[in-house]
Amino acid sequence: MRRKTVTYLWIGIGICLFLMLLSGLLARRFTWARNMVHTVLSPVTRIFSSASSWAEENIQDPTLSREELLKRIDELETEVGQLKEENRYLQSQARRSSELEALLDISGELEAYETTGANVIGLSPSNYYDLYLIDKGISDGIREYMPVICEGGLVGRVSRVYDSYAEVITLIGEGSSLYGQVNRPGGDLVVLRGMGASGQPKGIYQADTGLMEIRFAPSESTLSVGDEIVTSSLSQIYPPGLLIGSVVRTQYLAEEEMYVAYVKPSADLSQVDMVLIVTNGEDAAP
Amino acid sequence: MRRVFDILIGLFLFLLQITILHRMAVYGIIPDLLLIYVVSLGLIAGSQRGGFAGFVLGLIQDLYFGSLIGFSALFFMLIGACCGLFHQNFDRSRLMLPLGLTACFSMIYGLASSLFFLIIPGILSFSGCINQRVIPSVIYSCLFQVPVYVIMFLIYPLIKKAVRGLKDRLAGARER
Repeated sequence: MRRKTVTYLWIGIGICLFLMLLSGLLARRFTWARNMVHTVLSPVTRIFSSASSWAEENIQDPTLSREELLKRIDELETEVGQLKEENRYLQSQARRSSELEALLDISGELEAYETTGANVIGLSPSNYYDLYLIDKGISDGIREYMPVICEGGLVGRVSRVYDSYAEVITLIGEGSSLYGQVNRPGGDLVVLRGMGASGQPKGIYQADTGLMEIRFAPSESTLSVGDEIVTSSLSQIYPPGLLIGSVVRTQYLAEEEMYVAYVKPSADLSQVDMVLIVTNGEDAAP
Repeated sequence: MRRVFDILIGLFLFLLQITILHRMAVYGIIPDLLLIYVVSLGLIAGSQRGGFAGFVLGLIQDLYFGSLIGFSALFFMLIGACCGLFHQNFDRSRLMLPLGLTACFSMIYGLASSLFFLIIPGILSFSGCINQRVIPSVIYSCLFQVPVYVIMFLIYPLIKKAVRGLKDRLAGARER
């Protein structure tokens, strides 16, 4: 390696260590730089996200069986000449509008709360759906800890806000924790924690969606598989009664003398395109 | 000028990774396209360009998502520079070296990031990290390494030619 290259490398290492020191130990967030990068890249990110949604709708699933493919070909042959660019556009608009309608229904259920819609414009580069980027930020009235909901149920909460965008930590993200209640008469109060990639139980582990866990003593609760969990009125962040997910497995931890129940989120976190943010959760909470 | 192209192509792959690739995840695992790109660039273009692109693209990834700014930049820069050491003396038509380097650096980067963000904070055990994050990601990255490297191997001579043509034209215009 040439001496010039080595010098550049040392300068680069110095800059990186200095930035790590500032952001790690001194907790500098470099908001201005993040905003700048996001402002430049967000238009392209939006195009990519739209293209990805379009491709998902229009490209055939390679795992389809031969019969299904033949059937699909027959169907497509009858439609040749009819399906044009205008139709595709209309279909995509229809899908978007149905998603918006679903969000509007949820918004209707949350009458006491003010809500605003947002598009998901990026996902964490990790292998887990633990972090989203949405296209609303401080300038749109978004603040940290605001609950985020989608068609299927609760998604998570806003974890960081910048000028024109925000980060959302999902229910399964490490560090996510909330009060819940079993959705039946006299249902127990529980605390759910996002598991992210950690300690996933064998056999039911789904890396593409992830799970939450509830730990409880045998005398405290009678949770069983299939129980639905909703948000509790104890929570200061989330409106009560929102569907969180359902118990998919319970297990006894002999070492800790505790039971653990694994909860799968009701929202399909891998398919979230649009979300609803509750902007006055704490004000309206009873 | 070539460095600008390097960064633009890297940015394209980064945006691909955070948007479209998540839809193509196999059992929730996606390949680390930036790492693959930096390895390939170091091998094809040398330490300086590999290290520079690694630094800039890592920094962008940190600013976009990371809590520890400079972490990915440091790793990607060193990976790009290390791969550049093999730039002079390797048969570019053979895929074993890019594959080996991708597997090796993907493992090192995966372990380092897991150590900093999961194992030390006590979120995940070492064996959990290896089984659920590092090994699947290494395998998937190696699978994606082949097409990325082949495409870069084919388009980089064209970029070189285009940049040289542009420079000649600019020099000609200045003389006139």
